[in-house]
Amino acid sequence: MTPAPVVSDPKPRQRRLMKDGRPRSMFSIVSMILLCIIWTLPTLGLLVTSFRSRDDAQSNGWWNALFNPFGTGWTFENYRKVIADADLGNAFLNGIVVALPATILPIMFAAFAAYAFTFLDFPGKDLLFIAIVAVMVVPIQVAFQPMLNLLGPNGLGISGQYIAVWLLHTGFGMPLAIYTLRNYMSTLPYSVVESAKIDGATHYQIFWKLVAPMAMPAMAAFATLQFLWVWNDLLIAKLFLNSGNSTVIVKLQGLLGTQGQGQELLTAGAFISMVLPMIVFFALQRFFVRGLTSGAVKG
Amino acid sequence: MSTATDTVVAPQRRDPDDINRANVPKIVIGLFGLILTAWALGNLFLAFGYYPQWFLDNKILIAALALIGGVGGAALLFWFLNMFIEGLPNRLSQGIMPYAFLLPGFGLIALMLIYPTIQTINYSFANANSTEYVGLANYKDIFGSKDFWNAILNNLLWLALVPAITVAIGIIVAVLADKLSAQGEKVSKSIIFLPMAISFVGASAIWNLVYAYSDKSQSQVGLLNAIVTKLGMDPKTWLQISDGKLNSLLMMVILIWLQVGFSMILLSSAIKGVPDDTLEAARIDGASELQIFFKVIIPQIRGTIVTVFITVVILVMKVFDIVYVLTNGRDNSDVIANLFFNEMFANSQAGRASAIVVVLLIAVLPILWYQVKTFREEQMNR
Amino acid sequence: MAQVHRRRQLVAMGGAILTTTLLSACLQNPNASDGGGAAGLNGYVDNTQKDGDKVVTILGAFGGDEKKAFEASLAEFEKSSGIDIQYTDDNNFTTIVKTRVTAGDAPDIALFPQPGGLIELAEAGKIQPIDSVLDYDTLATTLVPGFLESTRYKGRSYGAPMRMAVKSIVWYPKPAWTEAGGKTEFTSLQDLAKNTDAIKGKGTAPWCMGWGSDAATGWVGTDWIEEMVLRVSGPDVYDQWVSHKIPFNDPQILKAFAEFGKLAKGDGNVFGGAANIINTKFGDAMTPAFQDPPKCYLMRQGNFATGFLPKDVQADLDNKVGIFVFPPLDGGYGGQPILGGGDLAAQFNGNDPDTIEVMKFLTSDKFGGPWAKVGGWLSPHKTFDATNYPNELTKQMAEIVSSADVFRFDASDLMPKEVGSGTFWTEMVKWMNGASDEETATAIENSWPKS
Repeated sequence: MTPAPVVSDPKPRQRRLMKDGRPRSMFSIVSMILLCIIWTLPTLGLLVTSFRSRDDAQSNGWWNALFNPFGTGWTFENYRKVIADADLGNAFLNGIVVALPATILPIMFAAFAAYAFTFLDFPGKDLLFIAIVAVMVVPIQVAFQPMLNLLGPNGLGISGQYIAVWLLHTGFGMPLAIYTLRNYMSTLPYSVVESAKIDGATHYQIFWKLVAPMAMPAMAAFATLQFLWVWNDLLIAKLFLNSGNSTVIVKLQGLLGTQGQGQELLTAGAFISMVLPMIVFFALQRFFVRGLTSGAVKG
Repeated sequence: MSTATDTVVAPQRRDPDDINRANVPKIVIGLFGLILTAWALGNLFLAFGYYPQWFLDNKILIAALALIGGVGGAALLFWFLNMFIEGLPNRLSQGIMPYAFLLPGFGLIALMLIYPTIQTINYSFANANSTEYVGLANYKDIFGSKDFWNAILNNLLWLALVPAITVAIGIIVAVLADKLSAQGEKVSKSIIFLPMAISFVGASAIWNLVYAYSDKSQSQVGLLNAIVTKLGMDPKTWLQISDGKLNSLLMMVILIWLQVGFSMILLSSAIKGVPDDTLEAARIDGASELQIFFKVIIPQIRGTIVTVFITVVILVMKVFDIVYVLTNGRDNSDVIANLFFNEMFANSQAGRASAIVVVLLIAVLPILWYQVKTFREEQMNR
Repeated sequence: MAQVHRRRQLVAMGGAILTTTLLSACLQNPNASDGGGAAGLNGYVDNTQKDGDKVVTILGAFGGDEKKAFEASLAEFEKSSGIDIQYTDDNNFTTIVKTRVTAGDAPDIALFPQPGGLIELAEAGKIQPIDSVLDYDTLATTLVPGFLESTRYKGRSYGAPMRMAVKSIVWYPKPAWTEAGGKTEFTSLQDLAKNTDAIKGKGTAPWCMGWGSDAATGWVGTDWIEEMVLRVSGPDVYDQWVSHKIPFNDPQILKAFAEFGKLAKGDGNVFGGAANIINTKFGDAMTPAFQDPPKCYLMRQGNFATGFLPKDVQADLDNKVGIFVFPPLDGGYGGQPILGGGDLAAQFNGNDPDTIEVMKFLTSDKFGGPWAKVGGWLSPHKTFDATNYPNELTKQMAEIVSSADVFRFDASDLMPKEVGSGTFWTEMVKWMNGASDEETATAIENSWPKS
């Protein structure tokens, strides 16, 4: 292992330091690169395959195309067909309209609940928390029939609309959201909340002004995950959205055909549908960067 | 209950008259606002469905209004609810406040998960169509079947390996990335995260390209078999090999590959929360990076490690789609959730499927017990 | 205290009044149905459509190119009738349709790829029997026999076909097969075996096979057994087998297993052996037949297989691929049986004249011209205008069906789901991996639901 440089060295040499003044760790760089290669390799296979015809992909491995890039027939056909057939413009719009509220709402509700679980005392607290952890293990499929009865024509009549799907994703995402946010909040310094209370702040104020900003990294992390789940969800979107409102993943799945004739289109579809989740990840990534949190705690 | 309540009820700077009296305008405005918002929102969304022509049949307009209405409306509801409760006499307000904070979140959980769960427990004692009670017959059926015990065994193996490995790699990635330059950190984290962004259909296609088998007279399409044949061996039917549970292990690799991104992001946000001064202090004391990792970072992010671990444990208990698509339980690779899925949908055996869910609920009890224990400890230590 | 008590009451009462007002002040669905009618009717509410009169919703399993072709075949009808047909596809059809219908969210028409789910919903009283809306007698004369029987429950039929699949087809690569000395017409399985043995003698496996199909791996094997049951024992035994009047491990069924074993397990008879058969996707099975030199020649698979052939073959079907009917067995059932399937249209909205009109069109021999021209689609009607079919191959398939002695619906689609899409698949995979005929048949028999 590379010996780790020590900061206490009074005059660290320039080349060992990064722009922000932290020491450069060769060990970290090498191991990260290795891990990244292992992690991308399978995906790379799919990426290469998405530019090959079905017959080519079937006759030899994708690495052959990579090692012999001029000897193989690259094709944009898969992408062209997906874009032409899947009504992607509408599907992307629907996907965004479904996913944004379905990400923000559970976090908002869960943050309030997590605050109550962390900083307030009330009868029945343990029991409610147990219930929340317990239902995480229940497969959501058992809820579909009762929910269709409730939201469908025999009930509220909103199934098929965005709001039905928001409600469902909010509900199904809620236990994990409350659970992760509560566990994060419990690591926050209790004294800050305590002193604010003595200053006469209401819980509503404490939540918005103190706790919510401090829990930002956890909320951003959960937001990323929830967005992904909603974006990539197939079951709920299929059952509860009418065809005019259906999302990217549903449209892509439809290209498959009865016996899977469209299999090769899914390779291209997988990458097209990945664009937006990655943008969200990049956008929220700044919340995981050092400095933001410690600053908030100190303030 | 505990001391925390006492501190809450003892604000010192306010006029005692002021806090014990109800603030009528606040109550009225709060209540009225609540009702008005709920009514307006409800009608807005029904109108999207019933009268799209009001919105010029414009998809983008409806989408924008839906976004604003949905998110803004929910925030407004909360605001009015808070106003209403703050208006109540202080004693009452303090008692109700926690429940008001819980209400929207827990209400949805109760409706969408707890109610169906209770229904499922009920149905586990009923027949395939849930029309008639059959006592314990479903439990006798599943406990009497060899497949069930085989699935339990496989699930135990999954539980023993996947959560621990996922968390371990997640910590390693989070810590190592933390030591890279800002740019390097961004890129490497995105790469590890990438599998999470791939739809499930995409992921199964990806791993088909790794585990695929072709006859040895053909060119290998699967990466693993290409390597094996390069080494001069015959290609293997990887997912059919149940010796040493190889097929299960290979499917676990997929889940780990998918989930390290999740574990990395939560752990990374926790590591970023470790105050710089504690790290500095350790460095000044001459601690090596390894020592800092084990003695300073790990204890401070222990809570998040447990959170991630338990979340992955629960995920593993529910894992089914990987197994369903790749082997559907063939060659002794079945897991509980796949068994549930097949009983529920392929076989239309609601009774037996429900009984399997109840088994899962019982299996999660140790975790509940552990959670409540740490929950209490945390409150004691505050 | 009393004052507080009264105030609470007041608040509670106010709350109750306001809630009631709130609920009653909500919009009502302008298209709400006027309630269901007689048994078998289902008042369907289309929330999203302002004009419920001229809109018919259809739910089916097929998407992609098939969906496009389906919609193209409806275009002209839509124009002339003024009915807007909205088709939704879902490859989880079987699950989704049941959930939606149970919740009262049924489409007007659903196209079932298997009769099992249809019968289940017919039992639940959700489907309109076709004899009350369609001209049953005409259908019975123009349709390939066997379809209406497959949707029968308590003496009435609940669905009519709008697409036919033929499974008893053997495909071969035209030039290579003739060059290897393959014949293209066979009087019996024995005759076929003699020919394939000769080719095996030259060192190439005669048969291509692929059973892989993700979660459904093994279904190709069930089709083979069904073909053999029809040939060994004939349609009557087949029907008894499907309805479980004889057990799954009846000696007559075991004979079919043995017959298939001779073909599939015979040394060097199938390319790659068991490992390759199970790990090859059914759609890729025939690819080795088009290599030079071919690794195998023959594939028995349904008419949809054209969609999976290599691109250059698809571009020139009539010259590159040939088909013949999977022949009968000497010493078994005498006639030529055909195994097949189809998409069955069922009506959930019994009292809607528009829906009835669409049903009539869908299930008539007038439907499907544009789809036939695209290819991959066969009409279940003997009277369908064969000039619509795009190539000789498809015409030959239609000819094979209409000249058959007996047509039977895919047995695994008719058996209870635990068997038909459960143990029958999985046990066939075990059989291919070495389990004996008796072990396999007995395991399936034991999994048959008791009722």
